[in-house]
Amino acid sequence: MQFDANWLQDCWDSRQFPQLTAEQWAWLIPRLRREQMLARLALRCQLLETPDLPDYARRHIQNACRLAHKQQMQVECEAELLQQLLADLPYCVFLKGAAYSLMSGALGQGRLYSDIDILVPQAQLTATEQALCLHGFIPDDIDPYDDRYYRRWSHEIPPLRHANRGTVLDVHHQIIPPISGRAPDLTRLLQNVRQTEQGFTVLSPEAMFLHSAIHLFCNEEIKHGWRDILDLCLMFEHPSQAPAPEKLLALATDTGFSLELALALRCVTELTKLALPEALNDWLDMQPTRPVLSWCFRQVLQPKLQQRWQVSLASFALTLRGHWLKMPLAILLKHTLYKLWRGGAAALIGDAALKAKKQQSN
Amino acid sequence: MSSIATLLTIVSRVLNVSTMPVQLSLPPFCFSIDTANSLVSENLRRLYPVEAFTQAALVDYHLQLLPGVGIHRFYHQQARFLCDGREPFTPLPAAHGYAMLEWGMNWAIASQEFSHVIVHAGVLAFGDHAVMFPAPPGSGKSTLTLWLAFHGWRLLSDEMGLLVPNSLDVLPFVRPICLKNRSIELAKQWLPDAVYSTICHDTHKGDVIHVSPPELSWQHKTRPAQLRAIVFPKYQAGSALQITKLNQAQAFMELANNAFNMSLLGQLGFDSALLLVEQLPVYQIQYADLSEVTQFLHEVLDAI
Repeated sequence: MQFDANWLQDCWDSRQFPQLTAEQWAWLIPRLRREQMLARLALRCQLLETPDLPDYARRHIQNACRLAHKQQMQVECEAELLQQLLADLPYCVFLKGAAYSLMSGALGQGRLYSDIDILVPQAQLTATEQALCLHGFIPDDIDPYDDRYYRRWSHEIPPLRHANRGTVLDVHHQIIPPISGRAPDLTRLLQNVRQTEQGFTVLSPEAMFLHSAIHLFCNEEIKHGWRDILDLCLMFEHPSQAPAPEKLLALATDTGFSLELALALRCVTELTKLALPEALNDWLDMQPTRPVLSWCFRQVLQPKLQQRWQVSLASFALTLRGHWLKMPLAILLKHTLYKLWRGGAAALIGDAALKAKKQQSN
Repeated sequence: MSSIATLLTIVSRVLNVSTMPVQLSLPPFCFSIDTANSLVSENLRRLYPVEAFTQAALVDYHLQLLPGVGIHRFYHQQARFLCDGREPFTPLPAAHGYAMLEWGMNWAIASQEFSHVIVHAGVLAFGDHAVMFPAPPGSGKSTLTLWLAFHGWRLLSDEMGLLVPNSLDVLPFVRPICLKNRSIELAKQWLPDAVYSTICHDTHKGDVIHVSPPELSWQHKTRPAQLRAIVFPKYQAGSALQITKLNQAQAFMELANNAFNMSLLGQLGFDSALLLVEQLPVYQIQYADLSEVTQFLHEVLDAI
């Protein structure tokens, strides 16, 4: 048996896992943990119910499932608190991982993430930050340059961390950095929201798919590629909740993200066994194929079980592309120069000296 | 052959690339450690017994201590800690590498192991009767742990007590004891012959050193013990020994405050803590003289 990306993908698609020895599990489990996929795969393939599962595997899988379960409980609790706290805002939309969990379907099952993302109106950003701060969500201590960078160019404010519970909150006012020049008109996106059973606002199936696609295919650093492409796959898995093709295409065209949608649909069908609705296949046939870009994404969106040069090359190329897309050249250069200068200065006079200087100037 | 191996080691040191990872079996867990930081390797060899370096067990966590990236490879050299390829901390100066590795092992267990209730506590046993000392940093917990470990008690753990859920059983997780600042001098006065790591100066916790526990503790590294009491220690210079018995509610809250994963375990964690405070005597002590504490602990064990 060859334990490579294709083999693992087959296990995911078929929900079947072969019987492995303890040594084979010891090779596989750390790799799945790195992909943040151990719990998700275990729940999908019902690994804990497997007879003769070696103790080693059982313990690690149980650990992962307990962590996922706790995260599910915690996100519901945090979301309820946030909902109360931000009740006066015109909207507070839960995005990405937190939204998947709050919908309590296959998408959220075992899905791990490190922070809760919310989208609030830009006009109320300061008020939101103050309200959150009063209730224990404090920004981490970051470099003033980074703070300014966030506030001036980014689509979110610096992350807030709850002082007791440690929960990290990313407050967004846009879905993509405005500096990229591609930030869409949010009213179009906000026509596409729905309420979960417990009354939390999340994006509609179409907007959710598009947002995940934008997030993945405009990003300069893809850490958990396999997890993220499976998000997209799972959104189509249950026909009753799947994005409606016409609405999805219209939304992508109106917001200007047809390229990202095409990349997403192409990668998800090439990497998984998902069969797209006819209408989307027809549309995809008319889109430019972008073979190099698709190849790069395919490398980083597969589970990384072995070290492969293709993955390193593709990640490097996508990092360059991501930065290039995000910022106009002049700002990118300024940013790079600053980071280099700070790195150099820190190396020469020490990081502590720079920090001391910063504190004096405050 | 050995000269080729030496040559390879020298070349890899010069190039600062990693050598073959070593496997460190610390029951109930097993780590693989990959580092080119020679200070870290030396400290590992010095503090852990030879038998711990074995290929016999399956590796639970793959740890790496890598050099800094870019300019930090050469100037103001850094150490980066990775667990299964993920990097939970920001880099530290390379000289803090060994402490970082020990803290990283704590992180790996505290954030990913949920088969036990894990309490931030020293655990020591006299025979198989254990006392757990949960305490926040700066309470003098490790100094007390060190004292007892070198006075006839066996160390089960210095930082993390591994409790079997819904029972009084506690598992050993024998590792070096971590001392800070002034207790370093004290330890070297008391125990000039003990095995110490190099000192990591000026970490975020101040100066830090690790001490290998005595042979007795390593010999019984897989032998569980049964909890007989919980004691929350607080060192107070010049203080006579003051003992306060806690009621069950106080004991439960104090225990919860010092537990790493009780909330994560949910009902299981809650029930386990409840069982402990219902069945065990729980004390808070303030002390300056460790021999007074030892005497008190023997009285507690004898009374049961």
